[in-house]
Amino acid sequence: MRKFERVLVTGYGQVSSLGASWSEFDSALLHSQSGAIASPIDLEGIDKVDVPLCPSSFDVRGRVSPSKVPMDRGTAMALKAGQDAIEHAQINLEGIDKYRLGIFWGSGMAGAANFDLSAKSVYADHKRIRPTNVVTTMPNAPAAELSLLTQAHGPSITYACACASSAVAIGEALLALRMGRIDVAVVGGSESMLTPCVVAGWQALQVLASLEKFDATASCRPFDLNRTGFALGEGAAAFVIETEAHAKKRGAQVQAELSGYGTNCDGNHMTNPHWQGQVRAMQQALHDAGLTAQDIGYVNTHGTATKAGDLAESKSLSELFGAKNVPVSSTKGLHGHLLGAGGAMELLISIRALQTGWMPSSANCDDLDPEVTLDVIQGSPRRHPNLRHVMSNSFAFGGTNAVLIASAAS
Amino acid sequence: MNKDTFTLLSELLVDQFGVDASIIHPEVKLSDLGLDSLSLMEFIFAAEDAFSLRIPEEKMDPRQADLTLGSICVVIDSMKSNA
Repeated sequence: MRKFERVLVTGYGQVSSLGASWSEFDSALLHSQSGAIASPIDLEGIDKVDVPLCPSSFDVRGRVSPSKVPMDRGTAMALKAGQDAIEHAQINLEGIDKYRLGIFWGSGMAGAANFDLSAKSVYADHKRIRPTNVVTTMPNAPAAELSLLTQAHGPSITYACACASSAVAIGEALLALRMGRIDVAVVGGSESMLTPCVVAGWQALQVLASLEKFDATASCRPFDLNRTGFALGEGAAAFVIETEAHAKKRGAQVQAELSGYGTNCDGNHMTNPHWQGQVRAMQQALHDAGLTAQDIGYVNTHGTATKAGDLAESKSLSELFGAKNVPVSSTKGLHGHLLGAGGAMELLISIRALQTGWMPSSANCDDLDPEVTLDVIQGSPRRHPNLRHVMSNSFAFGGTNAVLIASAAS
Repeated sequence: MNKDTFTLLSELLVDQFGVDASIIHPEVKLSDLGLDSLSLMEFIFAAEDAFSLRIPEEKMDPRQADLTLGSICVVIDSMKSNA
């Protein structure tokens, strides 16, 4: 029997390649409309190659940060998602104790894009560097601007653990709320690093999908036999989460319960996943939520579409749930790999599935890898008549595993 | 004070720094524009880039409390005319 107070999701917002409105977002997810396009890497000294990317149409022009200093694109996305989550939660920030309002944010490489452009400006274009370069490229810039936006005086913490960053941020906020340190938190993650040097770095690591020449949207193929890697994406996802008592007191509409969190580290390899660590993280999250594997109705996998990554996750999920025992999908073929923001985006997608009863299919998984022993949702989305609990996995470079569980509101 | 200089600086303040256009006039003090020390540095930086010049500190110290928008225009105009 759990003794801690429930933590509820009362609002959310997002920026991605899938569309700005919820109808566009849901439609892209349920009709498998990928945001991937072909984009060239065209830098002197590097072999020219086209790669699939999932850029957002988000327009940063005309947006002024709360600090009034220039913003990295990722920070602007964080602010948009955060503002939308606050509006969605219908929370009057003036009416709450700001010392009990926290910001818990995740980003793998926040500021990298701005730093890339600054370096080009200095080294290649021989221009002077802006006076606020440091404060716009520091990894905690999104959290700092969100703190200014909300005037939060509670903890404002940035987690950087690669692809698990925002999942860890959300999980750590869950713990802080349960411990009674705060009443409310704005949580999530942002990432925007589709600039030449950064993209070239990922390409050099040989993890990006080969571009499907005639259809860029078919490039990223999680769990498919012919998968070759992922498409980098960009975006942000934010949530307002609060203790049940706080939500009840203000009469908040509850979107979901944030019910479980597990995290650990493989301590094994910088990039190769370790299925045993993944199993342990999922078990931790289930225990934390007071649930068993049989209670989970859908898993949004990490599913990066790398050869090794998908097989390790297939092994870990099969170990815990039994082969083909729980519907799973990877949505990275649609929104791309949002890196540090991925955990937040995929939790959001999982919560939308909870709310609508529709679980998105795994985009481009036309020919399921026979070594993948999972019930991968292929082709069309699948309806779940009574989805109660969903799991979102984030397994990062560096070995950090983070698993979140959300449960239906009532 | 050159009207074009004032107009360009005003546009910078509105577009890049989110300053309310209704409070912008030549006599307004920079300290009353809602810009803190960092954003003030960025504003001067952006103004210098817009006019392709560098304002030496002896001509103008942006931290000076009573510095007005009009006085920046005058400094910029004098440097433009000497260029």
